[in-house]
Amino acid sequence: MELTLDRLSKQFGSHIAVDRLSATFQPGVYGLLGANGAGKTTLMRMICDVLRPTSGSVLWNGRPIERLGADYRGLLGYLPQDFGYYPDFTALDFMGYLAALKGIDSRRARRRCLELLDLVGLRDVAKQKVRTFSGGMKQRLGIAQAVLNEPSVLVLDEPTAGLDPKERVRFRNLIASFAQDKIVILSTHIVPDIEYIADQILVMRAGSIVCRGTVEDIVQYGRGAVWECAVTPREADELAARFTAGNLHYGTDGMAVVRVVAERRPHPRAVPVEPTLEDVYLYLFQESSGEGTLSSGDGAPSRSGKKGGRRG
Amino acid sequence: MASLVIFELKKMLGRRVTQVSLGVLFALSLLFMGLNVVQQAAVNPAGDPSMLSGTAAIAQQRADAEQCAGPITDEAVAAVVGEFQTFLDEEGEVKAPYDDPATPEGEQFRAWYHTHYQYLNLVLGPWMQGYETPDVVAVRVNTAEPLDVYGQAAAKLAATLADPDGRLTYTPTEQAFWLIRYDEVPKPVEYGYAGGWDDVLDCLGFLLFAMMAVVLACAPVFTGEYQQRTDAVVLATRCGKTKLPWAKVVAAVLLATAAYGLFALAIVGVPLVFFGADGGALPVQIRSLTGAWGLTVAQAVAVGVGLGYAALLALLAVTLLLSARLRSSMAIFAIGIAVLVAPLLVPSIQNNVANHLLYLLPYFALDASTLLGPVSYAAGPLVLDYHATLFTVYAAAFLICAPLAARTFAHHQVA
Repeated sequence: MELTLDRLSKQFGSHIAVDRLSATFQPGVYGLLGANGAGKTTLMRMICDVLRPTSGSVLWNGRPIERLGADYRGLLGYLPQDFGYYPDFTALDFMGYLAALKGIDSRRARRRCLELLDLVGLRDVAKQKVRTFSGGMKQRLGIAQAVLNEPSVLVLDEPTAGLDPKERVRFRNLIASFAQDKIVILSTHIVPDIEYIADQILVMRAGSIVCRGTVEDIVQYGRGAVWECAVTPREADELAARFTAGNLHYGTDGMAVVRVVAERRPHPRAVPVEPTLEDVYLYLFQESSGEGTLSSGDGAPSRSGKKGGRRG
Repeated sequence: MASLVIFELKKMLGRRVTQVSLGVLFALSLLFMGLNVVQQAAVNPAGDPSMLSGTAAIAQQRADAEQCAGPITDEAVAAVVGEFQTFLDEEGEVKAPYDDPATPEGEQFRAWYHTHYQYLNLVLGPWMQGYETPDVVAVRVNTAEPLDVYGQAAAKLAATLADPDGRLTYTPTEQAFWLIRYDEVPKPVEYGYAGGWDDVLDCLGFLLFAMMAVVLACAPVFTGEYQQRTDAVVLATRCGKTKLPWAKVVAAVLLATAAYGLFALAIVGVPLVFFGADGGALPVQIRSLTGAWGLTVAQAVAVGVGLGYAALLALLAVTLLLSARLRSSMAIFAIGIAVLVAPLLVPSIQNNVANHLLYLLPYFALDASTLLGPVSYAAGPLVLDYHATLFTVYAAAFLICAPLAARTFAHHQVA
């Protein structure tokens, strides 16, 4: 079971959304991390066969998906970003409709729909119209429809967007429970969402994967580039202007404790601290700082003091 | 596939726009058909009251027609026109003492005239020019010599076909085509009462309401998926690009058929109930003796309703294609409604090509005078009559646009 992206590109006019991206996925949870506009959604749409690549191809077990057609889509589960629904359908109608679209036998479909609605905590509202649902309930309905056909490839595009922390935790746990023996590709720009459940993280920027590895691998990449120091509020503002600043909080003594991502010590009182995935994300996507940034486009993390390797 | 079709129907019927458009337009159709009965008027030969309305008027129309029933032969026409002439002077004016309604003779003429008015209009039609009335024409007809009613009708038809300034111009092949058609019409024409069928033919245009309702209901079939952002979910499924587009087309056709059936039932049913269903076997020439279609009035109604259905399917297919291509239901509504009602806004024009194109629109297909008129389309030696042309054009539109709509949706790029 292998999903391969072979020099996949998508261009909209003069804008390159995905740029000759190659990757291979085997069973496991893959977190696709990137800022808004990095090309994650475009990539996922191409993986899900709803957007034709400008060049390159998506291969399932070595065969192009456009040749596999319905057979490939039969293996897919997809929860798109901004998941749309039919306001006049009940949750059960919606699940039944998606079951029919996924070619599930009608007798089995009803049982499976009820099972999944139960699993995502919507059994009690199965006969309520979807338009009465909260954002979290709709997302749970979305994940339920995505796994209706027990997909081999589960693609979840920004599944936690708009959810409150409690819903997000619940959602992450749901995804983890569905993920066994599947290729799960989960995109987000919310770092903690994938920090706990992703086996592999792919960092995307300007249509390319710029960094790939486990959470530990990626975190290592930020080692020595994350600092913390207690400074006056004015100094904190200066640091934020010159470097990429992470979390900032004020102590009872009026001093600001600021977390800074920088190649070299940003302040005489700064001490190096253990990086988190969020720090590395800030490091990779820093915009204002002239300090350390990223150069490699081949998927291997690299560090450089120059901006030459940066896109977008 | 069946379950997908059912879900698609549920989606369509669940939309408020479908419910409102179907409900309101059906109610309007019933209202107009009801008014059509209530507003019938006929002169009361008994005199008190002088005018009858509603079902009483319909009963009078039936009595009038039945009084004149029978084959329209030269002798029958000569007799009725001769009788009419006894009331008129050389100028076509009603002469004394028949011109004074207060006299018994005036009362006698009034009763006779209104009883025979429809029949006189019909049998004097071959001699009428423009909007002449029976009294003006009757004095021109020489009943002292044998009449040739159908020869006169054929001559009038030939003159219409040869008129270079008419709404349509005809090639020599087309002229010959229609004159042969006219020759083949069984004669003498049998006259009688067919008020129900006649009224249905006059009301066929109300079937446009069904078409409007269908356009409004089916415009969001594909575009609704784009607007609701469900396209990504449904197209990424096993059947999303294969069975789903066709399920949508089938569901739309089923909905359109059911809606049209309902409207047609009202538009055909109400007149037949109130005017009566008798006379269906009478020929369409009871509406005009120059008519060249060899149809009974019931067959003409069937042709009109059938062509209306074909037009509906063609319009539906175009609507679905627009729905698959456009992102806005409003644009589709606007285009659909414009196709249906634009002919109402177009002034009468004498341009042959423009009229041939306009006559392909449903508005004209459902207009009895066009539907039963000498309308044809010629290409060299090939002449297609109006009904065959409409059926061919509508079938082609459906067979091209429906698969194209399904294909467009299946190839839709979620971007």
